[in-house]
Amino acid sequence: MSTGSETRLAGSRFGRAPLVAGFVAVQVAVFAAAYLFDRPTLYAYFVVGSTAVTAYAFTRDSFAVVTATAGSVLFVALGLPVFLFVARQQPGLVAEKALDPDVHRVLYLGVYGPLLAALFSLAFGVPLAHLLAEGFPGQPLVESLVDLPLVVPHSVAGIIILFGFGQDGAFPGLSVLGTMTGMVLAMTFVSAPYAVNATREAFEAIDDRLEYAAQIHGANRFQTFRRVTGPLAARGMMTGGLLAWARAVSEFGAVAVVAYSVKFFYLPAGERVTAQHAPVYVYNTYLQGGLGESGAVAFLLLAVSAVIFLILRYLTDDAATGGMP
Amino acid sequence: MNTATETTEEGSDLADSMTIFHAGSLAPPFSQAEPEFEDEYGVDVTREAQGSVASTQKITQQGRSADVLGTSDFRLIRDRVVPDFGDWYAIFTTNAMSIQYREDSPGADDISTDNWWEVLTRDDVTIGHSDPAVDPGGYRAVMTQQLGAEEFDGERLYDQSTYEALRENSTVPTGTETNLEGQLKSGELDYVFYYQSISATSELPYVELQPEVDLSQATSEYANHYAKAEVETDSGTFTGAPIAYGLTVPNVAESPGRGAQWVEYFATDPGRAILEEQGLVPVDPIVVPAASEDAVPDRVMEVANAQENLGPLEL
Repeated sequence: MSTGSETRLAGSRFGRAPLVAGFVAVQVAVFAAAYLFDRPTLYAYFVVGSTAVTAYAFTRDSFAVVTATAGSVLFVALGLPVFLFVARQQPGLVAEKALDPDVHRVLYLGVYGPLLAALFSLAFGVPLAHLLAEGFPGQPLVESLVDLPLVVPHSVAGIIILFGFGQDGAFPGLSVLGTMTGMVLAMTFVSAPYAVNATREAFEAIDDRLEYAAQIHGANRFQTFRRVTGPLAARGMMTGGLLAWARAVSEFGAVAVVAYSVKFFYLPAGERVTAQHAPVYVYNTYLQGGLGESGAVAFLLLAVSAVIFLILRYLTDDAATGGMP
Repeated sequence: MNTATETTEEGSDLADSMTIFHAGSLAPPFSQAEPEFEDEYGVDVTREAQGSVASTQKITQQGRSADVLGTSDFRLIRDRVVPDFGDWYAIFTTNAMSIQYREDSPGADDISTDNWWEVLTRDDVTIGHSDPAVDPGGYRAVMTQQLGAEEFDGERLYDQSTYEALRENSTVPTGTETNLEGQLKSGELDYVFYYQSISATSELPYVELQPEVDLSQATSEYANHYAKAEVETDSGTFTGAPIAYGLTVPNVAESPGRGAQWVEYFATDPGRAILEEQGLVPVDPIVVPAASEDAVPDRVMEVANAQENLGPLEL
């Protein structure tokens, strides 16, 4: 969810960083003014207008102006509510929540649980994605199964996990209700399709001839994967993992059913503690304390997630410079 | 809208659609009443079922509008809706706590009203209830467990150590009661405490509890006894009271006349029959607080009884 027009300008040419910074500064200033005068509508128009003008000024290309202007409308739909949400936060309340040890646990669990789910999805999703990219008999069936979780309502997904892996399920010894295992399984159920599909697209984008060439030069299939196709698809895997992670961070329904309160090992304290997944905690904070408090916690979750996004994007962009065009 | 009636003062309020926010435990009676009500009054009803607290906050925190708000504890309306978002409310039904289980729950063959605490305190029994901090069904489950160890008429069901053993076996696997049934069916929970209205409409077996613990009796004698229970949570301390459901027409209603019709419906025979069918106990006549009698719509006041209190509970 990077900011449409700016990154396009930054991505297409080098040496434009000061311009991008200037554009962002103007946007921030105008937003602040519109917010202070309680007229956010004006900012919405400004985003679209300023994007069109900027695109024209730098490209003189009507096609670029049309795409940038159209894109900025979506940016208004996605970005403006988030900006307003951020602007409405009460700094005192956010600081109070940021110092609350309970919130620390929630944020820790809210990052760590999804990380396990994303790693689990990748560990078993990458081989599946490779198979799907190659094609095999019965593939449409497997594809449908992989995509099925996308249409299952999330509270139903939780119940499916309970019935599948609960006391009467496939592994009666496995404890899922209120455990880390249950939380990760629920998250994997809703997020694995993203990991598989993104990785699969990356494999499909690789020229088959590279694989043949590697094999002609004597590499077996494992070596080909490790030296050629794997590295070429690394960025897709990273994107898939990131999408799966993000999906798991935001999951409420399935987690609330399977692991409302989770017992887990909390590294900073060096002991097992009980906490709730961030979206569940945010919702309960809303029920107990109202919009202000829950908004502050949600803001912190958003901030932590945004930082992680930026770091990972930075790392993947870096890693990808030598890879696929 | 050919039923738009003699009461001209409400004439302009009778829109052809209305919105109801209500507790999850009111979903069965409300969904059963919906088609009949729609036919009779020529109005399209939209309902949103959620926890009682969440339903109330949609009005008080999110600035949303509904023509009826129904909660599983009238005190939510008394304390949070009145006076800023409403002027009156009606206590229209009560409910009871009950214990539901599976046929293959450990001890299921032995359990009855007379020994439930003995079965529930056995080793390896897992009891579930919703989160006391966010759901009235949760703190009421804990109250039921507490009240068994409190004397009523000189007798109590069990001692303090049994109460502690019950707590030991209890777990909080969810925020609201809506998830408990799935968790019970999947075998993760062996017994769950929730409203009898839910138990009675589910196909699983359940145990009815003693009136001194089930919070169902809206009389002074029982209300005084229930008040001995006290549950501390992160969101405050809750004191035991009869499970008295509240209905109100918030003053942010877009069609208050339709809201009043809905309240009237549940204060009269057709609505009462539905409540009974769904395992609830209608209050007859419905009770409104005497202090806000003037604010109660005429059609509701005609079928209601104004009172100062309900046992020890101020209205």
